[in-house]
Amino acid sequence: MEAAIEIRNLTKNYGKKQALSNVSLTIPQGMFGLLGPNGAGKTTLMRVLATLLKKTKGEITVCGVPIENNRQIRSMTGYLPQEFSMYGNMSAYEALDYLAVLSGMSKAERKVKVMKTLERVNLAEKKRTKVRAMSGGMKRRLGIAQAIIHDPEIIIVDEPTAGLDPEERIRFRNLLCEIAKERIVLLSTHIVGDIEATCENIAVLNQGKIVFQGKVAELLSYVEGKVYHVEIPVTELERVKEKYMVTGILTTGTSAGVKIIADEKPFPQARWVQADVEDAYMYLMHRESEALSVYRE
Amino acid sequence: MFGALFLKECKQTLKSPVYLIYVVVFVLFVNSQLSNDGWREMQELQEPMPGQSYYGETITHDKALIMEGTLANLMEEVSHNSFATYPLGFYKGVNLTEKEMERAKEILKQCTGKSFETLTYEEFQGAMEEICRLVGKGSSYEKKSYENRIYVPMTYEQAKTEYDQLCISDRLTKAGMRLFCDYAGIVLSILPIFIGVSRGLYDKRAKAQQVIFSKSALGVKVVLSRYLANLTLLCLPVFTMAFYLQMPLYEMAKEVGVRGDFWAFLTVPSVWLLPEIMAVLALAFLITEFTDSILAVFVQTVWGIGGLFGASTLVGDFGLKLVARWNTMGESALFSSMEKELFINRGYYAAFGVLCVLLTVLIYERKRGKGEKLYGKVRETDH
Amino acid sequence: MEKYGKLTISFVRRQYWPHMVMLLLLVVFSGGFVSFKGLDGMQAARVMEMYGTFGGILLFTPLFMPEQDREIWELERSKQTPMWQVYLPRIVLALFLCILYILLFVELMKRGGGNFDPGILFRGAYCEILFLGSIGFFVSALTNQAVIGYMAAVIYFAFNIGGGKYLGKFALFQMMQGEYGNWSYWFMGAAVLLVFGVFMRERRR
Repeated sequence: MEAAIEIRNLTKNYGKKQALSNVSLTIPQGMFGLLGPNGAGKTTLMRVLATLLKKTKGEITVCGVPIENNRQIRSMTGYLPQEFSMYGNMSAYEALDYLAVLSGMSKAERKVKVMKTLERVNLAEKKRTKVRAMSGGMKRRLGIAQAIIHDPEIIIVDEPTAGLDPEERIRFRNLLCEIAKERIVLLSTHIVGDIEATCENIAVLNQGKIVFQGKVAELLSYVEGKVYHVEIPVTELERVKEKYMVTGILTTGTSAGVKIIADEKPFPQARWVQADVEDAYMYLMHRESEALSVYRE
Repeated sequence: MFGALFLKECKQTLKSPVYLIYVVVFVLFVNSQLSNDGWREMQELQEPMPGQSYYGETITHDKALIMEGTLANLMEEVSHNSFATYPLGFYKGVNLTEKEMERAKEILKQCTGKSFETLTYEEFQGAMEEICRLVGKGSSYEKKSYENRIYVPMTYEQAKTEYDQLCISDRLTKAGMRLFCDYAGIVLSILPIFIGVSRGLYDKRAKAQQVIFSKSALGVKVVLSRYLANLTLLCLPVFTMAFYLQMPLYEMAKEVGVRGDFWAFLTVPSVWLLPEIMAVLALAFLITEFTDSILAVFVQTVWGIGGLFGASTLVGDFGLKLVARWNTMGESALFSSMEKELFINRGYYAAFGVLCVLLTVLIYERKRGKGEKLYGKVRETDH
Repeated sequence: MEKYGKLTISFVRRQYWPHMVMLLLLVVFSGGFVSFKGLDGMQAARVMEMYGTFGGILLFTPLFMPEQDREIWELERSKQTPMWQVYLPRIVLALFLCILYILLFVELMKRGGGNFDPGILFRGAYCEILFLGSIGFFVSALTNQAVIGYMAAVIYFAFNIGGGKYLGKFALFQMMQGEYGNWSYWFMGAAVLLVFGVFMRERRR
């Protein structure tokens, strides 16, 4: 059986509100990034995949198993919710052991795995620290530990790097990449940098719809040759921002270095620069909102 | 896997302050009640001898005595214009208006005007029905009530039978354990609520609900391990105290030459208290899982305390009451006549408890597939 | 002033309304548990003390419920408004609801042809109900768990049924035995518990 998540025409409604509409997506092995602004439906999609929400319409299979087989899906999946926490009075070891029991692991398995997994996420030394005394980063690491301890084929992590300091974030990303070698890791974020550093395949979700799906390189090709850098006086800044799509500003004294996305060269003195994923993402979202406003008119 | 989960749940409960309070309050309460008056009665236990002036009291089924006693009670309540009633199982004092009072006095006069030879039981019943209409439901003038509440002094023969039964069929310890169950049952109608509510809300409080939902363990296992762990730990001080308080009785039995029933500390509370704990804890689980709130505290406290005030007698009259009272040492003959009623009552609560747990499992599984709320809006803040 | 109104309305909408509904149910269903017909002073006191006091537990114990969530508590603490000013309007609201609640009972009993002094009954009942409620308030402040607060208040209530004699002036159920003089002790007790509750809660972490 090929290891992949297949989503066909998935729709999820909350009452009248449509959170996901007609989403079709193939998620292959490796790291897969789900990008989108807040409220785009990322969490909803992930919770449907983690069997915590029932879909309204559509079909989903996870490594060939239909999503309706709750139990089997749950045993194949490790899920790290956006707000992960555990009982405050448990130590790191106890909490992980407790969740491992809930994943159906035997005593012998747990004896080996709990410690090993704690080592893997760098919590071995803190195994006696109570959950209530943990920092945000430690909690996240415990969260990833509980998601991988039972060797699931699929790992779903929702905004894993939110609230981490830069060093922690990089360590966390590396950990995820390492884990993703032999399985599917689905990662959602609104921090573009996370995706750039880790994912080969990505999808962009906006207002419940998939607006892009493919390789990072493909997304970059959207803005290839359209990103410029230009030095302008600070007084010009407002005018430029109104006219062009600005993805970066660095003010030094009276002049400002501005990064602009434009189909044609905006200023004679502008020079062409290498586009990054953030530019491509901004371009995409901009295009989407324009398309939407045209549609509304 | 279930065993491991069960042990972990036990450990969690042992660490919770609510459990600690439970143990302290339970032990203090039972100990204070039983060391005060409980066994003292027992110490005066003596085989009745012919020629004593008083042998204690017993409930009578003699119609003339019932009429006499009931009418005396009526006269008393009419003279104060205060009638004790238990319409919903709770005490409710009723005062009549002047017009109603006149009618009540008339009825009383009709009955007492005649001598007891001429007042037939049928006439008496008719009069009582009318009184019931005046004071409302649940008074002591209902047939079921007055036929079971008139006490008369025992004769030597009755007292001797009572004594023999206490020593032979109850073997002392059983009677003692019934008194223990009477007191313990009071607190156990309230305290397990808090254990259940606090466990039910802990996942949410700790923000661990989502991640626990996402694990492969079946809802049955999750809910049942929690329930059984809490049930076991709730029972722990109950049986320990039963054993501890039974010891002096067991010794006492030896002294009067009776072989006490050593296992009474297990058997009597198992029948008497276990179904009660099961029901109270299970309902707390159910309400908490269903509403995700502390609603169970209010509902069940009213149920528990209300039932306590509601008892029209402290001995027997089990009906379907949550707290089965037996505030007396002995009365073995009376008890054996009511034992079946108790079994039905306790069977009902055990079944009720099981049903509540099953419903909790169902609700748990449903919530799991629906995010975290059972009804209303699922979280709108969706990133 | 508007700020406090907003804070309190948000508290009612998010946390408090179920308790207000329960309070209403307590009044609506009172007819099944107590009689309002022709009560004398002691009987009226019995209604307030054995039944009415539950309203106090209901009103005052859950006042810290939003802050049980550490994140909300920390967020609120980081704001300019001191915490006691967040709690105070809630306490005032509860005190006010408590007055309405008791007045309703007194009115029901008066209509039932009661023969008692409503002023004295109100004073005593208010202080007593407030006192029992403040026990729940204090304990839930101390433990940061409303459940334990309820537990403490209910246990205190139950303890008074048999063990009132050990509690001296702070014993409940005094008025139904004809003793009307304890209201000032209840009131003082309640005031101390309410103030210390807020103080201890904010000092704790």
